[in-house]
Amino acid sequence: MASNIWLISTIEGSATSYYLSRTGIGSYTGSGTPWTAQSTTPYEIAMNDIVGRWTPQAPPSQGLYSGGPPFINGEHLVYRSYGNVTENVPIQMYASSHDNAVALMRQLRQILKAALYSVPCVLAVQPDGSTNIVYYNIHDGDVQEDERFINDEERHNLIRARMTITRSFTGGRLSSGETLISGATYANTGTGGTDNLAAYSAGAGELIYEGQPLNLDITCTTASSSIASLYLASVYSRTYDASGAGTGSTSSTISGALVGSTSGTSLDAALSRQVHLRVLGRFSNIDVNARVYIEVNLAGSGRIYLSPVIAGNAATALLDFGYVDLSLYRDIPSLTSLQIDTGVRVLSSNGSSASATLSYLEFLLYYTFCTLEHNSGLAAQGATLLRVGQFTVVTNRPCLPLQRPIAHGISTSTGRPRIGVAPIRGTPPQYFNGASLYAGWNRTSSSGITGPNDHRTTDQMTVTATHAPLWRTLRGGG
Amino acid sequence: MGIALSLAIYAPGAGGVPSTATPVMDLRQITSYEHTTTARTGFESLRVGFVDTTEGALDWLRSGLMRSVIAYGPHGEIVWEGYLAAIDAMFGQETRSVSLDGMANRIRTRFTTVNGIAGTTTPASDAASIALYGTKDSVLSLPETTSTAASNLAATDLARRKNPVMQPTTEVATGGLGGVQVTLLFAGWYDTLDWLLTSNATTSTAVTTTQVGTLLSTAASTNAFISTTTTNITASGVSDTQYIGTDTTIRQAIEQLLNQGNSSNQRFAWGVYEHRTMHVEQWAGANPAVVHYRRHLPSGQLYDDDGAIVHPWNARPNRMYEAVDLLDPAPVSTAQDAAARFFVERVTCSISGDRIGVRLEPQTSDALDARLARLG
Repeated sequence: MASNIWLISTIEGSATSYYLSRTGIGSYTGSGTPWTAQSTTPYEIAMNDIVGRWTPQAPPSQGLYSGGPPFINGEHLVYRSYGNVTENVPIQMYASSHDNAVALMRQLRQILKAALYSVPCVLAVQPDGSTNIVYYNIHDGDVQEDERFINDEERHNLIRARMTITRSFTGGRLSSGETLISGATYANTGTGGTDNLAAYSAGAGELIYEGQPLNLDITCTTASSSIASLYLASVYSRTYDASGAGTGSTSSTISGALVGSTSGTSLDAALSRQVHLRVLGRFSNIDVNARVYIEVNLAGSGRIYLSPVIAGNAATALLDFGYVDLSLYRDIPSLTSLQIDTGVRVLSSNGSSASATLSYLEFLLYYTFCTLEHNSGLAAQGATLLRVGQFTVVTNRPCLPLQRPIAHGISTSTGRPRIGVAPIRGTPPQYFNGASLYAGWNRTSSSGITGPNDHRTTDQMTVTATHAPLWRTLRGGG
Repeated sequence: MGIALSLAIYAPGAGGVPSTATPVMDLRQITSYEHTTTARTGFESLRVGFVDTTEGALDWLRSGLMRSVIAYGPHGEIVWEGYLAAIDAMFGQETRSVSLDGMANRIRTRFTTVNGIAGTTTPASDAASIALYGTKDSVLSLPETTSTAASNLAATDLARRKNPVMQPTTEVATGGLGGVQVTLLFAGWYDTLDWLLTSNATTSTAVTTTQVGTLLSTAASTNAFISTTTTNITASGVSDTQYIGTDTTIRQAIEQLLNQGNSSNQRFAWGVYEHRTMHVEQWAGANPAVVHYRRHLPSGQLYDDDGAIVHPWNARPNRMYEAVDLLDPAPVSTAQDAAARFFVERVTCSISGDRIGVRLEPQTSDALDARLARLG
């Protein structure tokens, strides 16, 4: 049986299929919609030695390399992303008359150019024997008949043409994503039966080691005030360590007093994968005039990271001390173990005594990390669904990455979006094979203290994560 | 996954005061990016380019000035922060540019009468412009005139300059017309210290860095753009008179104090950085043997002194840089600049479709480039 290759257009409201691969001998007589079935379609993708054969092309990989000649042999890949695919598809159109043949061609031209003014045309491909269909967005396209139609093949009512399309860099599922986390309960702490981590189910797609987009639905279930700052990360691991809990105080504005420290935190996994270290600290108290920072040392050795100094302005807070680049250690030959010691210190901002009390540290080995902040609240308990979107979810359209991620509050009673949700700071969570989703958050102000630093370990939220598997060409059973 | 560099754009609050209350957009679909940071301004300039629709470009031209921006790196770190100072929009062969450069909304005239008596008019100001952009001072001069005439001059100039002026250019030519392209030119918040004039008749002395804190508070009392916190200002240990001549900008006054350096006779590096806070510290060139950034010639990447990669967008001035393969066999320990190392005065990060890089400039090449940075 011929492979299924067709276009889907919703330009008239409902979805209409235009089959480009056929199993019968169809011809357009000027009425009806024969293109909606493979057995009657007047379109045919040409697959022969004369005009060529077509298969979806993989997207061009655009890598940026550093270094190289004349100083060293070979360049080193530093960044990589993908561009759109532009390809030529040889196609033939059969009709009962010249005018009907031209009508077939005009129809294709109309739907291929709908992206800017209506909805993009979708290219669907299911090779013979393939279980699943892969769908692409067509950004632009055109059809050019060849010269035989009005010359040596005039009145044959057959158009031989070349359809040129520029389409999305990958294909995806249609209409809906794949659920990886379903209504999981998150507690705002790194310990206990219910905590701040949930593993993604195994996802499909080709970019599972490069990152595939996720949509998150987050509902704040227990909190007397809204979520004001939210940390989201796709992590390889999260290590919770309360062994450094303690209190430190000082009046010095220069020399930090030790609040607490942890030792021997293992980062072995970072030696074999491209993950970064992120340290977050949970404080049960930070005086208004206190400023805290961390110092990360190689275990028993020297410092590898000194964080920015962060001012706490609430009694409790979950603070992000920034990311630590570990690429150096992946380059050290034969290194099999990497451990760190972490010290938390406090400074005074004004020369008066200032203290801070550390509850625990969390060490994330992460792929992506982001922060959302909004002083007025991202999601109010039970009243607002916070949706972080990275791929399209629309009926009869492929689930493909948005041009930029979006975070919006949605009223749970009306289903309507709120305005004014903060931009996403950093890289929103992506699906990586074997990874988990981490979430930690602070409430909006309470007790008259301004700022989004009010962390409660008893707060909970529910999270649903769906993802858009991506395929560069064919999907098969994935 | 590409480089998740994002620009959070916010509408200004009343008086042009930066606010995160009203996000305008999370601008990620840019085609070019370049920012500069210097050791005497902090965040200096940011230029981004992108393709837009006609309606989108017109919106930028109409409502874009004074929007604030915070650029975030892929790990959520603040890369650059400032305000939108100029917009260029190209509609094929038609170009429209609008800028805050020539705008002034509080103008006074210094004049002398025919008898040689000096005077200053009451400032003429425009409340609507101040409500949009904040206060931006200008001083005119008029000799051998009257107070009334001088006031009239100020009012006339105010009427002309109170709003940003659109600069159109048109080219009618053969060849491709091109599409709709927008270029946004942001300036760092330090630049706004040039907006306000100040003076001080007090002649008693005070520590120079304390005076800087006072000047920041003075600026914030009119334009609450820059934080008044002095936590990141290292005391100089040097005192100077508090006298400030008339019609001195706050920036001039600050730089006159900081240019004196500290009690160890070392210059300062300063600027407005994250969260719009002023940082003043002894320059890294005081200890040139302490190297912060390194590169190996075979590598196109920058590393910190712990061996970690420094991404181009995270590179900062006031650092000592060293090219390991060019190390002097017998370096002069106190020399900031040598074959292998130099003090980084200015950093330019540029990102485009085929190149990502950072340019580090030494202290000899700052003045002209800094002025040209905003002009592009």
